[in-house]
Amino acid sequence: MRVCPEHGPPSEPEHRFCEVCGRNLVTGEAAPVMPVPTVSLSSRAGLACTGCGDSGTEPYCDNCGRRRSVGRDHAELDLSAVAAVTDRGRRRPRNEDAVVIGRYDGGLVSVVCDGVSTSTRSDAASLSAAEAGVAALLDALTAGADPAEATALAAHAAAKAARAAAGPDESDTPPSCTYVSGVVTPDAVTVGWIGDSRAYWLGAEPACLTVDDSIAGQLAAGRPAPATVDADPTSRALIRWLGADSDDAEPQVVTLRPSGEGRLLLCSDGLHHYLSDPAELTAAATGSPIEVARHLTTVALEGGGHDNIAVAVLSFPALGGSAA
Amino acid sequence: MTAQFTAEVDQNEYLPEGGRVVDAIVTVTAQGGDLRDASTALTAAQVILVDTSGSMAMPGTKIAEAKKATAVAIDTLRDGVAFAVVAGTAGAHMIYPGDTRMVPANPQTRAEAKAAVSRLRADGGTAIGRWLDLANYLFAGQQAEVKHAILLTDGQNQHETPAELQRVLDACEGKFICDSRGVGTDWVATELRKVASTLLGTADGLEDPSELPAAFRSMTEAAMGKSVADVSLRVWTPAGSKIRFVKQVFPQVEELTGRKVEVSARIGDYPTGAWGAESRDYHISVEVEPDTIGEEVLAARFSLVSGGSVLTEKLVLARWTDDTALSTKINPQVAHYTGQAELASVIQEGLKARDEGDAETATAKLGRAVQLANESGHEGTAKLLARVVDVVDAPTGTVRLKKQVAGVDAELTNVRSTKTVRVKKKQPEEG
Repeated sequence: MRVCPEHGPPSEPEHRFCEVCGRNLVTGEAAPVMPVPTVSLSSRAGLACTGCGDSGTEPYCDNCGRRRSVGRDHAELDLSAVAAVTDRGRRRPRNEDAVVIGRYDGGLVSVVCDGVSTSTRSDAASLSAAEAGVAALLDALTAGADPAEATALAAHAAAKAARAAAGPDESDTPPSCTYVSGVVTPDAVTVGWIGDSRAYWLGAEPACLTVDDSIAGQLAAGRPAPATVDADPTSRALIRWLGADSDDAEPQVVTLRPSGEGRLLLCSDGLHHYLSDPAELTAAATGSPIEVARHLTTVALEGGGHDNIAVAVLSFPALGGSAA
Repeated sequence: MTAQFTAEVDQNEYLPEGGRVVDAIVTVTAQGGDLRDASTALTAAQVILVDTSGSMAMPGTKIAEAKKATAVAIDTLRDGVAFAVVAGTAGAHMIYPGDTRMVPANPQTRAEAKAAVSRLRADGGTAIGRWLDLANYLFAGQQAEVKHAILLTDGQNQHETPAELQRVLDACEGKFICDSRGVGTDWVATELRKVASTLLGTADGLEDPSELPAAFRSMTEAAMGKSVADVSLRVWTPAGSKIRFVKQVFPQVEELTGRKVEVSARIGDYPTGAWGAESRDYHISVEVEPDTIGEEVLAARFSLVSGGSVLTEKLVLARWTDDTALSTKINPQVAHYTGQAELASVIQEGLKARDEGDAETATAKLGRAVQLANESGHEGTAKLLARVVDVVDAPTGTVRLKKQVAGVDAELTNVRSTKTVRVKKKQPEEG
């Protein structure tokens, strides 16, 4: 009689594997540990027009003409160890922030993009860039790339996708967005960015890991202001972004090797406008990743919600093989 | 390489809460270095309709210049272009070739045609509809992509009723393009404008018969230079919207609204004829269902299509805002062409009132016309108006009707009333 040491005899004597754990009852070998499947979730909206319900993919509904929202007004994405929330906020007519999260056998990834409100259809850029960024991160990481290398490749892919979002009529103010990516592995946190969306380390020695690509951000970080820009030292206007009017695709990359547990937070200025202090953010980050993301979104909404909000929370360390 | 079409949209897309009306000016330009290259030009056919009524001999320079002009037009035809010359009186008669058909232009047919034209004599009445009817018959036997007629007349369409002319125009619409010219002092602007408008051509009057050869050459050259045939303006509008009007507003005002050919519930086509290297402006006005503040709606998708392919496409948008600084901004192009369209109609209404002896209406309308022409810097029209009225003060539109006006001055002012000018280049703002 073949018997599993943990689960007893199979339902039929001739069965060669335990129905519960998959152990080979002939050889006694335990079932191989299945790799965590690579998955990702995006805040992209469905195809139904918010005006009339007609489905389609054109930038404007072919029936009622209303501009399609590319991203959902409110989205909650939850892969347990990594989760995200995005919200339209209280003042903007649509949500042009985008967030995508992903998980693979070696860790967790996320990208947050903030559509630039002064350009047309910037949600087309932000969603395309965020999705292309996560897809490229997962491809590179599962192929064995080092996180910093994957981060650069993903930013290139996102820049290309943002450029492709421009229609033939949009040469003046093509869709454009910011970009911040995060990769959490069992031993490190790697972020890359272009623009003023931020990454924070929430844990012991909390810190903002990014430096805003604005004059104010550069000066605050003790860097020289870019000479080509007519410099107002308090200007928060972007000096780098993704889109058809930018050929800038090289992210700044920072890698952190935390000594203890914590969270990587990615967010758009819809959150850090209201709460930007790393210690205060850490104090607010209690509960599971989705709970933290919801809570921080609520903080931004209660603060006034002047802009779209996107928040992604990634657990550190990412436990290879049991991230779920 | 075929023509490259480009389009630009000028509009204020911002509407106040509850706002419904979206106006836009779309400038369409066709260009390409080889647009006038014979190897890429369309196949063409041309019929020349020459008025040979008795009045063409009074004075004799009219018939003499008309013969010269017809010869110039014949010489301007490309080799291989099918052509015919028709003499118009109370009937219509083939001058060349001798029977009712068209022949390809070559050195021999050109010489034969010019010889036949030189023998023309002025004798008979005027029935424009019959001339056009014969042209329509001649064109029906042709496969050419561009079918173009030139119509020259010096007098009123006396030998048929307006209804007869209308019936022929209806039959000819869409079959060929016709440019009409009046010469002398007795032609009627409203008749020429009607022919030009229905047959997608131009209308004008020539003050001096000696201008005829140059005019015939330029009309023929323009027809030979057409490189894209049967171009339609295609307009998509959203569910729940209403097209208030679609107009061509440059180089002349042409109402297109009623010419819509329905393609689908959302899409209509408006015929624009054949295009060479040229630029035209259109004014579209759409009434849309108001959406909420912050929403953005496609009010119209505006494209030019030919033979199933889209030559160029532009979007007309509507965005609702609570920022009155944005929603109250007047688009200078829309304002300019609204004024140019009004200019055309007040000239026509003013001249009509003047003909009917209603001096009060005529003075008010023509005064407004002087004011509009002055504001928009439309010098050509301002000069013509000064032949019909004494301008006391142009900025306020104060005028007095002239007591003595040559008939041709009123007709010239009328036939050119639809000609528009483009908005003046922006001057740096003062203050």
